Amino acid sequence: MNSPLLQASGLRKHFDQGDNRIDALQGIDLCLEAGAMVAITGHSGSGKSTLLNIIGTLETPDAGELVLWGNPVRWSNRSADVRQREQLREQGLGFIFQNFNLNPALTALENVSLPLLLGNDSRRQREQKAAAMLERVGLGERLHHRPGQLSGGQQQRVAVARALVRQPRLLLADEPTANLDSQSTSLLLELLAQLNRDLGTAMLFSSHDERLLATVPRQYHLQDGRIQTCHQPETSA
Amino acid sequence: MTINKWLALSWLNLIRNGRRSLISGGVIAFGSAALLLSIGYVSATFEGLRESTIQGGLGHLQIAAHNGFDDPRAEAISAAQAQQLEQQLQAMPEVRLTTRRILFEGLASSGDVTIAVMGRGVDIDQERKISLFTPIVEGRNLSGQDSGWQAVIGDRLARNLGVSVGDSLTLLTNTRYQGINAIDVTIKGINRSGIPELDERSVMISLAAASLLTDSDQVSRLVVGLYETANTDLIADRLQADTSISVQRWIDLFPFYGAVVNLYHSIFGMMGGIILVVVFLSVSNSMLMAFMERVNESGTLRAFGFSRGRVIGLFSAEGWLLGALGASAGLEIGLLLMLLINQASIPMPPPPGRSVGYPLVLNVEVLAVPAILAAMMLCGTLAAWLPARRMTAMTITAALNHY
Repeated sequence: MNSPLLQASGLRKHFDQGDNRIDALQGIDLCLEAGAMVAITGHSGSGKSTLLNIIGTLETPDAGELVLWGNPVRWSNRSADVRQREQLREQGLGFIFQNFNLNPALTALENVSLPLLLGNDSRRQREQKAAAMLERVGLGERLHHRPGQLSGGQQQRVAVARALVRQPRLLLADEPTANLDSQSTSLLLELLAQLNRDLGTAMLFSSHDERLLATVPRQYHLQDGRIQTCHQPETSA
Repeated sequence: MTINKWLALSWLNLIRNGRRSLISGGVIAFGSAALLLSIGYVSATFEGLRESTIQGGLGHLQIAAHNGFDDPRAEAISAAQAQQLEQQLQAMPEVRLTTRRILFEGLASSGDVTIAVMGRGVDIDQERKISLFTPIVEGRNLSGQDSGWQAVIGDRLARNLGVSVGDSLTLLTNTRYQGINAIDVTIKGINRSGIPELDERSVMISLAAASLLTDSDQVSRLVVGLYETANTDLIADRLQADTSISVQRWIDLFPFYGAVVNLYHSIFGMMGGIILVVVFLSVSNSMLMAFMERVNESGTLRAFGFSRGRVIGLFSAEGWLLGALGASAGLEIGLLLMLLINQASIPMPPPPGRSVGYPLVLNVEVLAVPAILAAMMLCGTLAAWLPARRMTAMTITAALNHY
């Protein structure tokens, strides 16, 4: 039996705000297979972003284990462990952020090429891969436009292309539609579903956008730092 | 190749953030030009002082009999030994010329006024080649074709004696054998060395006249002129093997130069330091502001798997490039300004101890160009490295949420 793409068990995280202790995650167990498309739902402050950040190895949990494609994540600040997390991000994770996080000084092509700098591709290869991915997200005509010259929906599609250009195993998207109008949201959701089918990239969203949730087959509802319900209308994991 | 792609990214960030880069680069360019001009000015000042001193009659080296520089009663160099030394020196390819001098102290009298003077008898033709920078302000210089005994005296002495060109002057001094002798000379020219103390007491006559006056053919000093000032120590070392003579370099005879150099080094060293600190603080400040707007970018890069060191390197490379570009532009502007200033011949007031001004000249110090470039590249790198280090010290999620 193949090991799952992602296996999280007992993830806990708290934050201190002055004298108040906020338990953002109180023992999360989660399992994700290759090619899955899953949404984490919940109200604002329910811990969705924290969970995604920990799965993306951007944030350290207080307790619990995370195994990414068979590699138990080591959370210490020792350089070897920091390097392990960097390599996991480099080799298997793609990120889409709520605010797109594009470099305004760079063109769409340069933004999408950026993650490829860590590899051994030549400049031509990087540009070819980036152009192909931008073509795939429908921005073949906007390669040399800078973010300021693109609409919000187009910027988010550049961010999708950037997240997928290294063909990650898992795409993490934190509120990807939060800053988009309804038309851009529809286009983005169609695109993500298609890329999930075509590339087989597993996708994990955090959202409370009903339009997005309508397209995602499996959803976990997070409340008070715990998974309360699981909506899984179709196939089982 | 690997370095190139990172530099290319830094370059893109730099040129696409044109306004910010222009401000920081402008500060670096200004600092580089200021440093180049300052160094050029100091260098020209040192060179001008050195060469005007050497060419003003001091020569590169002076030779006296043993202890001749320390003991005024010491024997002078005999005519035979002087000839031997001249032959030895003229065989050296570094030596441009040698000339004899007879020095004497005595009195000059115009009839009404008598003033103590310092005289020197010179080989007129040779002396002219080594006293290029002692301008005649009235009359003419001594010449080999002069008939009778002629003299050139300092302008202040002439004024104090109340004499002018064509007037007669009586010179009185001790002879070698402790007698007293006097000759009458005609004033042929009045000169101005620029050193008031010298111009108040200076009398120059021919070697033959001085020999007659002192009743001796001995030579007080053998002055050596070289093609290159840099060879001074080399020739001095060669000559010092002969213990029957004493050799002094121009810098020994003119200790004021060392004092001026030390003073200028400390003044301009401090000025250069201040310029560098101002450049560093200005660039660091503008980099800090620019980078604080890009904290989010650093978080995004780290989310992609870029290491903290890689992100710091990327941002530091922008500072390095900015330093290189700003300094290159500044050095070009500086060189252009130097050219314009040198062509404009801007008059400068007389330096301390001198009565004559000089045109402002700036030297192009070849070694200063790479030194300034390196200093500014280091300055730019450091100015970027510090805020980049601070920026990447925050967690990735904090950086991603920083707006």
